[in-house]
Amino acid sequence: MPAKGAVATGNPLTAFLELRRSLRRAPLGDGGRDTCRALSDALDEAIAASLPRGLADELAVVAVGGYGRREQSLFSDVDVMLLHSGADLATATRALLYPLWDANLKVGHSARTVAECTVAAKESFETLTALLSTRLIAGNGKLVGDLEAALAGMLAGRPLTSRLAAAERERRAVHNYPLMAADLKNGRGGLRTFQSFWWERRRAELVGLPLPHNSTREEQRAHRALLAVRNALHATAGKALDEFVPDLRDGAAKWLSSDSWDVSERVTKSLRTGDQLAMERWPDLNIERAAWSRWRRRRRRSLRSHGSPERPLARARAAAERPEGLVMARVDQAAIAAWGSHDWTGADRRDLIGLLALGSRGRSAMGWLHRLGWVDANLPEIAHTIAAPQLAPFHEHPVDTHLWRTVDEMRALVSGGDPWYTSIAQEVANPDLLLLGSFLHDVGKAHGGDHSTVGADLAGSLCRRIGFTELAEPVAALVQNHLLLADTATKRDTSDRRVLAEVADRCHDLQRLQALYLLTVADAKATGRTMWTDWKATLLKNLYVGLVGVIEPEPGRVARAQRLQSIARFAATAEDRAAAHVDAMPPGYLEGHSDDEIAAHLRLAAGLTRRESAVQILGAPDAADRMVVVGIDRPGLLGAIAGVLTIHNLEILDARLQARADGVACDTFHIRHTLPDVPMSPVATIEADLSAALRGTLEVASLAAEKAAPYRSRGRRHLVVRAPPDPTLRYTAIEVRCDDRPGVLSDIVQELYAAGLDIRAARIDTRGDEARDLFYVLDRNGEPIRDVNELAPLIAGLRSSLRRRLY
Amino acid sequence: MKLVTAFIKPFKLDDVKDALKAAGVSGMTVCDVNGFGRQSGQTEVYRGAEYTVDFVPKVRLDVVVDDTEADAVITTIEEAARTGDIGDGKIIVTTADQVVRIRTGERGRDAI
Repeated sequence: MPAKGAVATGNPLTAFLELRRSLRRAPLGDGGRDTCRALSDALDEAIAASLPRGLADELAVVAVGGYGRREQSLFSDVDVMLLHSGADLATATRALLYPLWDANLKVGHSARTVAECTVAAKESFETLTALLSTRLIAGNGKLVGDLEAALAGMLAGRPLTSRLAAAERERRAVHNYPLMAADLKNGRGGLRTFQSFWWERRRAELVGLPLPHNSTREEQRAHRALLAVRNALHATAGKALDEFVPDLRDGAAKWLSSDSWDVSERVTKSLRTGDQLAMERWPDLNIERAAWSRWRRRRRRSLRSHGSPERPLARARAAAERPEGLVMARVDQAAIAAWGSHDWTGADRRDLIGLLALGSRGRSAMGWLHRLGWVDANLPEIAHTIAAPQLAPFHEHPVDTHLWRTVDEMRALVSGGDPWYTSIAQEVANPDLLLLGSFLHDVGKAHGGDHSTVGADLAGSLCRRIGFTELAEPVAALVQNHLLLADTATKRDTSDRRVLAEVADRCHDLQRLQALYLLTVADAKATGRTMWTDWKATLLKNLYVGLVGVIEPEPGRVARAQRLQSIARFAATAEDRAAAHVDAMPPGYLEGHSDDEIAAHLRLAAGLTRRESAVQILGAPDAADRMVVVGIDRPGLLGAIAGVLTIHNLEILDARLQARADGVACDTFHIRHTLPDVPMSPVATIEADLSAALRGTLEVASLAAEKAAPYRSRGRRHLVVRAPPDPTLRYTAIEVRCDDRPGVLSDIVQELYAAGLDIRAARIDTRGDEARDLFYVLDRNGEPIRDVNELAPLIAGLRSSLRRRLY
Repeated sequence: MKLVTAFIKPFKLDDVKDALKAAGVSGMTVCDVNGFGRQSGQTEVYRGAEYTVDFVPKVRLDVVVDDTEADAVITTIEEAARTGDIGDGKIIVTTADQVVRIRTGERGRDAI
């Protein structure tokens, strides 16, 4: 049996196969274009030699695709087309294709007339782009000329830009975060992107139009680098493997007479160049799918008129916050590029935080700022992280992508569906610390030395330089210690009190520990799929709990005594009564409420023997911002409260709802009077209406709905209803996110009641124009709903009924 | 030949690995696992409230050794992994019928 791929001496492919064997050992030239051209030329010679003379007038053998562009890689498919005008195809196939098949080459082939080509090109965009790359190997050149004329006629009124941009958009959707193990051919910013630029220019050439863009040196350099590394991967793997996987990096580097770091950097930077050139050449690349049809209608106007603010970060933020997705108008690009280095203002700092909070849009906007030179001039501390590679196989992304992904993971922890992390995040006084710490935690990478120490210096000095003076020290400490908890949890004995004491000492205080814990989780999640597991989550959680026990107990006891004194003084009662009240409340009650709020609960609860509910407004007389409601806990209480507050023009911004062990609900609302020109209703009136609502003598739901009616349909009609896991396993958690407006809580609560749910606790929150409410509920039997077959239709029903009620 | 499987505390992995290398063991497989033994999970107190960890994180270590070396390897793991506290783990020994080094095709002792 002949060896795989072996062909008889004298076969026209012998020279090609010999060349490929020698190229597996060492490249030609830079390993990119020179190698590809040598392979293409050797194939050309072999195929041309196979063409029977008698067929040369009726047939043109043409290379298509990458082979047509002379970009044949070592183990790429050999794509050829027999372009004919009625030739004997059986003879041609036998003569031309059989040798290729016999050599075990993977052949993409077709046989078409010019007319058949145009039909196929109209039917398939992929065929059209392949035909754009046709190149005559042998035979009748006039047929190729006819084909080009036909394609030119077809393409005259058919620009390719929107289809090419759509394909690039799909690549971005699949690879939202640039990867280290990128697919060099079909990945984001990969060879397909560079081919797309080529197709656009080729179309212009054929049709006789000015080129839409020039092939710049930057583009050529990146394209050549990707071709070289692709060849290196083929040579190392011995097959057409286009993913830059860790296993092949050393071999590929050796083939290129380089080292893994250098080759990895060439890959990440070249992919980034492709990505940024695409962004520059197709300005609407970041338009989101849902907004696409609206955008197409308004595109021209939107690209011209922007009305952006003056400063670069504000312009970038405004561009990223456009409803359709990020669009950086040319006027904004020019304005940002013209700014150069500048002093930082408070507005700049807010806009930087704003960009971090925007996720992928913020990342794209920062990409623009880097492209326009603003990052180098104004955030030089992070410039070296951009597209900097990470060689450890567990790192899935280049450094800057990892930093942005950590920011995204942190945002998800802060506002996502896991109450364990969300509740910890809520205790961190300055949320900017979490975003900045995430964004800068690996800023010391690609610098040499211990990246935590280098990064802490860089992060601290950056914060001071741009005016985050108060955050400079805590951010630097976060960066310095960002591996501390992960290392301790996996490598040290966390049952040893001395270990806990030492780590707690480095954490400084509870707030720092909480920020560090969240950063550790976000960092692990952002590193890669293998770095965040239940195993690691449990180890880290156990360590965190142990450290809280070390940091809190003594100060906690002292603080508790002091607070109980203060609460007793506010409530004009004895300290032991205050202590009994606090002890009868769920864990976290003392930490989650101020002294005056707890005193109000205590005082109102003491008077409940005479009535069903009591209300007290807290805050300065001209700036009342909190309301405390105490009542006998029962189904419908929250609905009654929300409805009554709506009737009295009070909007609930957030709420803390808890019940004492004896069944007394002690609820605290952060409120805002929605009609500041109208005096607030007296407390006695609110209290009377609440009592009437609880007795059923006040139609609170319909009155609240009437009050809220004018505000309906104003927002963007956003609605999310889901059931995140409840870590206590005592309730079913239901999260509702929707447009905020007066009366929204009342509406949501009424729908939960209508669905037969009893609300046992809730966390009500408002972020910007979004209401984010989390309810802990039980079913009619007082049981949590665990069965997914029961829960899924419940959530779907709630989503549907809430959409009707809210919008 | 014996397959020695050990379930140890995660922070003891480096100690056990170093001790086994010093004892001449040339390879091992390591993975993260969760489980419980007689300690039946663990209970922690977080801000006054108890929460239970049903499955405790451990590291699982697999080493294949010749019969003559099995006792020494077991003792090495035992000593390196011991803290004396509850939850130090277990060592399980089973008979391995065959070992093959895929690259060379070697079998038995030669493949260890």
